[in-house]
Amino acid sequence: MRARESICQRPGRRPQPEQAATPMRSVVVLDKPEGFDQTSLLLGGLGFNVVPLLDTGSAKGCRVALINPDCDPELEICASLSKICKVLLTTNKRDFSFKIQAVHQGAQGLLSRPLNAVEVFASLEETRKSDMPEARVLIVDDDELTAAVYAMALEECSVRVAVITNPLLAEKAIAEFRPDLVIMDIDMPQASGLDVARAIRLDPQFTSLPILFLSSVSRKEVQEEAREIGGDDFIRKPVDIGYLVKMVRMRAARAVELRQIMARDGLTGLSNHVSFKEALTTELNRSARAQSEFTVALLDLDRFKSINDTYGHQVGDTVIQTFATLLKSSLRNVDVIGRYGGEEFAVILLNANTEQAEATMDRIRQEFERIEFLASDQVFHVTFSCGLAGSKDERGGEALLALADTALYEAKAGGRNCIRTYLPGCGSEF
Amino acid sequence: MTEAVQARAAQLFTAFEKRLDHDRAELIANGDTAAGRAGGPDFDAVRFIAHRIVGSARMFGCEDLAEPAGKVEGLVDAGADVSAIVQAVNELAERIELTLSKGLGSPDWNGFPS
Repeated sequence: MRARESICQRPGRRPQPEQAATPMRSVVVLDKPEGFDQTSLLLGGLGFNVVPLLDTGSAKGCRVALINPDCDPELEICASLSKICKVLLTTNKRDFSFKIQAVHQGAQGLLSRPLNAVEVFASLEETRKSDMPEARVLIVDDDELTAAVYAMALEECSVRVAVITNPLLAEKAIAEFRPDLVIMDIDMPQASGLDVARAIRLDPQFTSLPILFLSSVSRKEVQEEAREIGGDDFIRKPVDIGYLVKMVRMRAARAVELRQIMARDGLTGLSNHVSFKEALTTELNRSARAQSEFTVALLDLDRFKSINDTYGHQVGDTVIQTFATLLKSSLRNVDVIGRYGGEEFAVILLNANTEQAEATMDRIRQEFERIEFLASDQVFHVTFSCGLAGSKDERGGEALLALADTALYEAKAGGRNCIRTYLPGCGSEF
Repeated sequence: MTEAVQARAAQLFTAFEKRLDHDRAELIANGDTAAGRAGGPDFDAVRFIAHRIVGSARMFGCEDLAEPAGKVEGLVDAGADVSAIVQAVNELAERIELTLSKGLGSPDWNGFPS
């Protein structure tokens, strides 16, 4: 089947000005002319700015380089570019000695040829994720001045920090702030940090929350006790700021990765049902505070069961992955995209009213229906239906989803492959 | 360091200086009264101050206070003789006064992200 590479056949869409100006959206390619054209078409269609590698200067501002080893047999260019960006080799070579040479020369990944949109996009997405760790750290220390210095140093590394000076408030702070890591002083007048950590661990949902203890207590038994109750490390006061920052970033990054794995759908890499609903609640609260609006979209692939029945589940999975890739490449980074259920997807379009969201979704609808899927020597197309509801129509997440679901039902009833918007106070409401 | 961080750091230093001055007064006031309490000596407040200085002195450019503060903390924890504790407390208060009169030194923020 050629379902994945069928995305290549779409006419290359010109990158939007906003995207072209973003380094994250620029990819430098070293390849033979036909390989470059193919890559350009594939990534151009996904909104990336693809530039040929003429010299090292042409890679300036690019976060990713795609290199065909046939054009760089000794991987010298790979080694040189790896100092300034992530390098992925586009090759079908998979022997272990080649892999060792590749990593030695700084390559960070291998992509099979011919390139397919899902695989390439997943690699580029990984780069984006590592650039934005979004780690959250809670500091529990009764000395507000030293805690403020730790917080300042971590915030300089784009870590979100909350500080509490009363350990008795730790449980409440953890529930509200949802940290990826806790930095805990041990010797505090209100309670021992060791007891506070034990109390936190009593709640099953926090048994794996990393805790980094800080203390000027040098006694070995205290350090051992800290480790026994699941302390991930023990840093002695006075603290070396550089060491603390390194330790926290390393451990928080792992915790964030775990959080992301748990929050993502395995097949598509999109937010899963639970994390999408959490994001919706967050956006409702944010929009109420900022008096901004957003639109929720529920999307359902049309007659998906018959695709699975006719071509098998593997083909069905490819359709789902391709649709997810199209959504990711077509929507903005700020929008939240989730796989809501089997063939159902949900999107939060931030700062967009229902008219704007309808235009966006209709563009995606038109792009999707043009994609050719091939299975069992048969070419087929897939479409989706979409229901929209605006945040101004409802203040509750579940109720808003219910309105979008009602609109989706109308879209299905109206013949599928179309968008319907919930419109309050219009009789039929559509 | 960005200008915003430098400004915030300056605020923290000023706050630390004020606190240290307050700590000195508290140590003098508490040292003797703690020793003569009716129910027996109670050095909790003194220990708390000393412990806090141990953890923060280096960060705010007065590492030389860490040693005498650590001595007070250690003596209290070990249940040492009351007169020894009072003497250590007085020494710490004097060192604080000397430090404040000289002004705080450069902070040890080695590895602070630039």
